[in-house]
Amino acid sequence: MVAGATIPFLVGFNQYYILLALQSVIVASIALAWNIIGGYAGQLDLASFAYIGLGGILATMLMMEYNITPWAGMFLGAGISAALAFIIGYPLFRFGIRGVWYALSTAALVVILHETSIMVLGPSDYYIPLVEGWYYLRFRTWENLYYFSLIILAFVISLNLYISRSKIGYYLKAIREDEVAAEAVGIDVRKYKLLALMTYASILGFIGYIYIVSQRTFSYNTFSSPQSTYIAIIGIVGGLGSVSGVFTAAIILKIVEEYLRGYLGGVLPGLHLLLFGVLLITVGILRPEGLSTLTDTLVRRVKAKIWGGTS
Amino acid sequence: MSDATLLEVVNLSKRFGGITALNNVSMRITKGEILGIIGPNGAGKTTLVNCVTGIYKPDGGKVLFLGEDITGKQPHFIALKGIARTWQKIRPFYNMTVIEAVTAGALLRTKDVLKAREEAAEVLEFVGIPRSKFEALGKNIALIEHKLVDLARAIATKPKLLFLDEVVAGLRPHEVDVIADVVKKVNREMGITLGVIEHVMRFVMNISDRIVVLHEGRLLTQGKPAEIARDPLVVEAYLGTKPI
Repeated sequence: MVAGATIPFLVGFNQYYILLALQSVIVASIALAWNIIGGYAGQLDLASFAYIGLGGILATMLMMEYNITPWAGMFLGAGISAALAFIIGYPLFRFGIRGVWYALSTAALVVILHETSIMVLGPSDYYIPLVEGWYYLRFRTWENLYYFSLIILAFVISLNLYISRSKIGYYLKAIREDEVAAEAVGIDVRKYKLLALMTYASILGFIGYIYIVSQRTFSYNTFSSPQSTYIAIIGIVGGLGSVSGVFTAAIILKIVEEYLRGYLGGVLPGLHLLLFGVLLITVGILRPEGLSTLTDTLVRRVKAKIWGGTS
Repeated sequence: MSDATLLEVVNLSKRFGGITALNNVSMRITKGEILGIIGPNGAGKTTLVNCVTGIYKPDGGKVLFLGEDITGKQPHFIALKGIARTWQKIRPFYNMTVIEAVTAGALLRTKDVLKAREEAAEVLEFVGIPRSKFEALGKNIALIEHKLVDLARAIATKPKLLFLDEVVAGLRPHEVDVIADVVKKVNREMGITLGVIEHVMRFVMNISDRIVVLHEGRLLTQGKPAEIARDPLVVEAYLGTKPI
């Protein structure tokens, strides 16, 4: 966190790099929220941008239409996203939808919101008005929002660490490993899965406004299936349930994606996505259990080389 | 006599499509005993345990545990009431360590993770898993260890009644003896009543106080192990009537 706070000084308040850092921290926060439902509880959720879009657009619209501060809007967004998660999660878990069927159902949720929001929002983009100050959580430069996002990231990391060490964490991991065996040792599988889903959704509903501000615009395309899948990819590439792995994956993938887009996006449209895909496949082949094991192995090999070479 | 009854099953029935897996089975398990449940393949032994532990909802009949009707309740509720089980096909938590898996069981009776871990360590040592194995992942241990860890996970929920579903299937003879000793210890030292489904006769005849025999979804007979071994009905169920 301290290292993260020095980034604006290190890059000399270059707005591009601060914005990139802000977006990386937002992606890391989203992926770590996903880690609760996807990593600990093992439910392949593909609906992250349904909750981000719903909570974020609600907070932004309240601000634009009624001048309500996003501080209230973000909590309302968290609440409405948690409510949506309950409406979706309760029947899914009640009827034992899991595995690929759970993934498909959640993917459908994003598509449904994407399509219905065209009717509500219309086909055009909305730009956030040029308002400024802590009341609107929107500033001329990106530093303040970046620091704010670091606080959110710190909160999400602490929540992850708390869960992994508490009863809830043990129960979610047991559910991930074997739901039937988990039930038989007294775990209310439905209740704990719903708890994980609603926690994840409320964090995303809260972050939604920050995400939209960092994008400067929102539209029906905020309910993005590719982005939702991308979050799940980060969670899987990072290593299910590994805080350090998911964090590393989020930061590295965001920066690599940005770099490839910047240097190759103009050469041949789509080339950067192709290379990005190749990178993901490589990680998948080399480390099917996630980046968390890769970083461990790298550290060990480097150490072995240094000590092995000198002695 | 009825106050010593832990579990009472009354006219329990379960059908899968046209197949009647359980047909009006009535039986009881007495506090403190080891009850062997035997029968040829397809007799309904596992279905019986699945109906009692809430995995299946029975189509008819009642399950009474300590006089309370628990028929058709959810498995986690029944576990909380005090019935635990192990599985015919092992169901380990592959990506959790041995101690974590058993801690998940111990957390049923406490919210304190550290306390649950201590209890889990005690239970694991009780069933004979050495401390050096505690941090091993579920996917890296041997079959006999899986059986013992599954057993420890079930015991850690502090059950009054524990069902063991073919706990020695696939094990070598000397490993069967290891399990037999552990199972007897669980019964005598922890005071847990046991229902043991088994095909390995040497094992089940050795440890059981009493045996019930299921055949084609019906209760065939029950009695002491020595009586059951000589019962012509049982021999017929297993081997048929005509000489081979």
